[in-house]
Amino acid sequence: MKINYNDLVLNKNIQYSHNPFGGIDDEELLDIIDPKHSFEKLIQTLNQDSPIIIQFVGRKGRGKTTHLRALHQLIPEAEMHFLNRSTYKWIVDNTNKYTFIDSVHHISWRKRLQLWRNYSLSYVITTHIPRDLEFLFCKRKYKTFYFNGITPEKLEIIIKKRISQFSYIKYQDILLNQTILNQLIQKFGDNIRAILNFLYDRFKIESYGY
Amino acid sequence: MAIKDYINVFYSFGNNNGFSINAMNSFDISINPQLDMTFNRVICSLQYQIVGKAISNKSKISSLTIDQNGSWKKKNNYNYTGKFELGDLPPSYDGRNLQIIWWLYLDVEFNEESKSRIQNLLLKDVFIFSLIKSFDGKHQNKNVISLTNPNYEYAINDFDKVYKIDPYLYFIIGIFIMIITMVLYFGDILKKYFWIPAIAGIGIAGYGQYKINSIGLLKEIRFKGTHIDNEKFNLEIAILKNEKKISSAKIRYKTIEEVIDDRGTTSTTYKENIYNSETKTINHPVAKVLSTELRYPSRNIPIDFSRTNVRFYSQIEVSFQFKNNTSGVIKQVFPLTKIS
Repeated sequence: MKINYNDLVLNKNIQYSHNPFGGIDDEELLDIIDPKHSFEKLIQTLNQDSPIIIQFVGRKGRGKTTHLRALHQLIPEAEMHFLNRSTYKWIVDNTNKYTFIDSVHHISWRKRLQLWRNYSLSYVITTHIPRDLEFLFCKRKYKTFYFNGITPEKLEIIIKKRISQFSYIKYQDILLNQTILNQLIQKFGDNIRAILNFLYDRFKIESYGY
Repeated sequence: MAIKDYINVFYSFGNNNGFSINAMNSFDISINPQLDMTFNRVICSLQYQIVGKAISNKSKISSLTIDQNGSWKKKNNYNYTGKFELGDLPPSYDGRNLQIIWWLYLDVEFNEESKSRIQNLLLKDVFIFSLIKSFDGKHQNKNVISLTNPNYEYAINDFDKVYKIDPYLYFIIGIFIMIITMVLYFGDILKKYFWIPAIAGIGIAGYGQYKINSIGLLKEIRFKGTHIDNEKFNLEIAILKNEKKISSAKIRYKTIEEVIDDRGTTSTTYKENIYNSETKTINHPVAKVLSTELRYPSRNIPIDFSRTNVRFYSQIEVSFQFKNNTSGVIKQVFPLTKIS
């Protein structure tokens, strides 16, 4: 069954500033995000007496990087690394108390162990598979936050926040079709990025005709 | 309630449509506060935002202090005027996977007294981020404006490029796969499923053979472009070998919007044709040197614009039909630019 944006959003004549399902810059992030894990809890975990490694585990498109970027907005003194293989040397030079690493799997496991052995640093990392063995091997304290699963209620909040942020309608006035929300979850599962990319295309086609 | 609910802001522009490139642009702002407020500074700034399927980033271009060390009384109107002179900047753009949006920002920096009074009001509406990221004594309001570039011209940097065709790669890979498969089969290493790589090898070698007998006939093509005037450019295509085997050629160019989504582990490239030129058809006999005039795009495209993971480019496409009933396409990127 074909899913249309105009069937999803029941309010008509919403005036948008731009396509609400595109990328989000750092400045907008905290207004947009609906945290899967409480940021207060994450910050408390990170601010424990002894350094700790927090790992965000989940498949792509589940919100790991978005949460990492949002957490960085709340702890701007942390050093942030969006990794490709060549940026490793920047991390070993790091002396910052908090180091955030997105896509830690871009580093070889031997080099990762070198990082974890820097016992004075706390890390927040994103990864597709848990790195528990590495942390245990390096005798590091760690905590895992999983990113999987989505409910229609959660998806509704995500979409409503997007629409209200990039239009002139208030959050509480937005009405979404629950059947379409369920169809989106049936089609894409918990891959939020795929849902937002799909809505980006549908919005474009239905609003501008291409 | 949020701070934005206590300040109504209305914008109007000298030019109804917004701002223009390479011009002085004036605007009016009317502020209608719902509380008594005192402030240190009121600043207007102009920013553009690149927002697409995978990206969003803003660049501040200019800012202007429109008031300082003043106060607003509840439910009164306060009017301000400002001007921005804008140079050569990317105009507003609404593409398939990318938008360029211009914003006029209004930033109010409240003084300490107003800051603490507003903080107390907002405390009634505490939610998770308020605990962490509380009201910092500033308010920001923004309004989308349209930035147009009414006086633009296209041009090409004259170019002379040779496109070399290497048709043998696929054929060699296909034959190599077949040889390996035979070695494994006769060596009793791969018996049951030998047909899978064998068919793949035959398919790849067959495709390679088709390439050799079609586009591979041409070996080398030379593209030469020359700007004529603000309407058109000349494209010269020199076919260095086997031009007599061509039955027809179709020449055109495309402009492509490219956005790369490299969030997380994988990277996806989104490409969309945003402009197709007219097509020039050349029928048999095809000369060794084809010369044709092509018109520049008929609409405004930010052809020079590029940022990390975003670019626009233009490429010539020549579709050949050969006398042996085969066909093939050659694509060559060329330097189409814009001058304002």
